[in-house]
Formats: sequence, C-alpha cells, structure tokens
Amino acid sequence: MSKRLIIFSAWCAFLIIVAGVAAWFAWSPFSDDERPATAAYRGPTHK
Amino acid sequence: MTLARAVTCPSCGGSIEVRAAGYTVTLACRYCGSVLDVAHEDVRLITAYKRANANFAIELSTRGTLFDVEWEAIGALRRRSPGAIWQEYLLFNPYAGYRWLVVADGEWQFGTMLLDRPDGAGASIEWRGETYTLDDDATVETTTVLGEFYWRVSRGDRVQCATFARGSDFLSREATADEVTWTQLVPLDRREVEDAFAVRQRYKPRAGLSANRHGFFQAPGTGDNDLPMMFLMALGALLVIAIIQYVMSGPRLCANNRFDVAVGAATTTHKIGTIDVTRPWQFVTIQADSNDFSNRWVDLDYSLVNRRTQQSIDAYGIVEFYTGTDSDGRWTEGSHHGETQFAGVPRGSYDVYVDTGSHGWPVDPPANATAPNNPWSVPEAISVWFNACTSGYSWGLFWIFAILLLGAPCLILWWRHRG
Repeated sequence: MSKRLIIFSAWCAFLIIVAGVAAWFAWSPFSDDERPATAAYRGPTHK
Repeated sequence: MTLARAVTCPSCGGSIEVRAAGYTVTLACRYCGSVLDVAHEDVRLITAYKRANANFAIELSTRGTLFDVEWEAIGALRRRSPGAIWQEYLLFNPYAGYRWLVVADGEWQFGTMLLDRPDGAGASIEWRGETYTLDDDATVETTTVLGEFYWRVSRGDRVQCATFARGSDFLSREATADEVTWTQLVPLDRREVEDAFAVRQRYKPRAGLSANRHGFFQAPGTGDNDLPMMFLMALGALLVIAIIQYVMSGPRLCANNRFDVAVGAATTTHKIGTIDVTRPWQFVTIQADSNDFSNRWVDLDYSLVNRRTQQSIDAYGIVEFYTGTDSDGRWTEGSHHGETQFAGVPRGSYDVYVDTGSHGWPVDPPANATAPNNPWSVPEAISVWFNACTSGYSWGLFWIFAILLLGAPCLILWWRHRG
C-alpha cells in the first residue's frame, strides 16, 4: 500500500466521520431557512 | 570547428540557432514552439502550435560535462507510457555525436545508441556476452517536443518500446514501422547531473525518496498504479456516506393538508398539522404541490412551532409557473411543485404553519375579482397540497462529499493525461 493510498484512505475516513456528524446533527448548508435575496422580484428569469 | 547556423522561424520571425547543422532535420522554435523542417534551405513550418509550458528539468542550450565530454542539451522530449511519464534530452557534441539523458522521478540515465544489435528475441536477449531480461514492453507516446533532433519527431508520435534489464543497466528497443533502434542506458549519479547541467530545483528528488531501480522509468505519482484502488475507495466511502445519511434520517412521521390560496389577496396563515421529531436532531421536509396554473406564484413561509417552548423555526418556499410565447416559440418556466427543507430541528413536537400569498405576473389580478359576465363565478384561487415529514437528507451535501472524494483521483488522472 503506497503512502499516497494511505493518505487517501485517511481522507476518506475523515469525510465519512464528517458525514456522520452532519447526519447526526441534521446539518446542511443548503437548508431553506433564509429567504433568498432575489425573493423581492418574481417572474420568469430565463429572458 | 562549428556546425551551427541560424534560421528564421517562419511562424514568429525569431532567429534560432541550429547547433548541429547538417544533421538536424527537425527543430522546435524556442520562441513560439512551432516545429520546423530545417533539412531544406527554405526552412519549412511543419506544425505550429502554442508551446506548452515545457517545464523541463534542463534548459536547452545548457552545457555540461559527463564522462569527460562536454555535451550540449539541444532537444528535449516529454514521453509517456500507460504507467509512466518521463523526460529525455538529446545531447550533442560535434566530435562525440549524440547521446541521451533520461530522467524519471529524480533518477538519471545516460543513453548511447547501439551500433551492434543484441542477439535473441522474446523475454531474454544477449549483448556483448551479457544476458538481459525483459523488464517492460509498452507503447510510448511523445507528448512534448522542444529543441532540435536528427530525425523527424512530432507530438503524438508512438513507438513500441521494450526495455531489458541486467541489474541497473538497461537496453531499450524502440520499434516503428520503419526501423528498430537499440539504446544502452546506464545509471548516473543524480548529483553529477545536477552539478553538470544546473537541473531546476523542482526536478530534484523529494527528501526521503529512495532510488528504486525497478521503477526507474516511473515518474512521480505513477510509481504505483493505485488509481483504480483510489476510485474504488472513493466510491465505497460515498456508498457508506449515503447509507449513513439514509439510516440517520428516519423515522418518517408526516402531517398533510390542503388549502386554497386566493390570487392577489392578503397573506393568510394555515396550520398544516403536528409532527414529532423523535431523534435528537432531524431534517424536516415539506412538499408543496398545486393544481394547474400559469403566470402565478405562491409564496410559502413555513414555521415549526415547538408546542412546549413555543419557539419557532422558519423556512421559506415557493411554487411558481410561467408560460409565454416569443420569437423562439412557446416557453415555460418553473414548476407546480416546491420542496422546502428545515435543517437541524431538535427533538420535540411541532405545529407546522404556513403563511400563503399568491400573486400574478406581470401584474396582480384584482383581489376577489369575478368574471363580469358571470355573477356565479368565484375569485381565482390556487389549491396547494402540503405534506410535511420528518426525515429527508441533503443531496447538496452528498454531492459536496462526492466532489471531495472523487476530486483527488480525478486530479491525478488529469495530471497523467495532460498534454
């Protein structure tokens, strides 16, 4: 097992732990708890 | 004695010195990277391409003494095989001819073209009474060309290259459709080369890197073919993360209800129902689905009110759908469905409220308006069905983990195959 693979394994383990902690606290940076700044205008935006 | 002559690059007009005039047939312009045919009096442009950032370990024109002969580096190649990347330098001395310097992973070899061919074929050959065994056999591609050469060379050239080893000495056989060439490669002390040719600092071996004769041709980062294992580990970790997110999102308890929202009227408050968050922390997801409408939007302001503490957690959602016609034809935008997610909701029992307000685009219709010629008509309203549930997980967070996990192996893959 190369040194690079060992480092990458540690990185994977770290991310799994972070994901576990985030899942336990039901944390997400994408929750909808703030009204977006663009909410003042409504209407089609593709044109 | 001098064999040098100057030519003008037809691509950029730069003046280039041909150091081995009469022998050199291909020359890469040092200013613009164009590959020139200098075998003809009127120097011809073979290919013109933007010179890649060569980043070679030795600058061309550098002179250095090896084996008591002063050599000048006149050409440089970057080459690769499926498992390795390395650099080769063409050295020239007017009296001694051409030699090669090959470098991979901070280890250097000195190459001399053989005039007498080895005997035998297959996995074992004999040369000058010594037996060499097959070490590697792969297709080698030239990815970067810089300087001048005594044969026609260009980026993308491919040869079949077999190396035969005897201890730390190698014989290399390169075969094309037209010819087969043999080269003897002997190891050089890297400090000797570094002193002789002023090797750039970043190409010197990293501290703690030990010489590995077997892996001599292997470039940094390609020494072990661990890339498939890295991808496998990344996908495995991603699967574990998905399972963790799924398992820790439950249990799923829901409340649902339906309300009519009058278009253009004032905001009204409705209670969807009561839900219980049974884990210490949970996501709460509210789905909103409406009946068919066009050019309207429904603002949805949700509140989870803790029944014990009366503390409120707020979130925002919207359902909007627009249609129209322009020069490109008919278009639609938006959806009759909306999803809102609360993150980090602590354990407790919650009343779920929603403030609804609907509006028209480009202008609001008059509130409580009825059809003027139909006294029995009712004001326009949009029906919205709500389904509020504990559980759910963040797909955005999942894709961030996917990028963080797959980024490293993808970066290594790109680095290996970059031009």
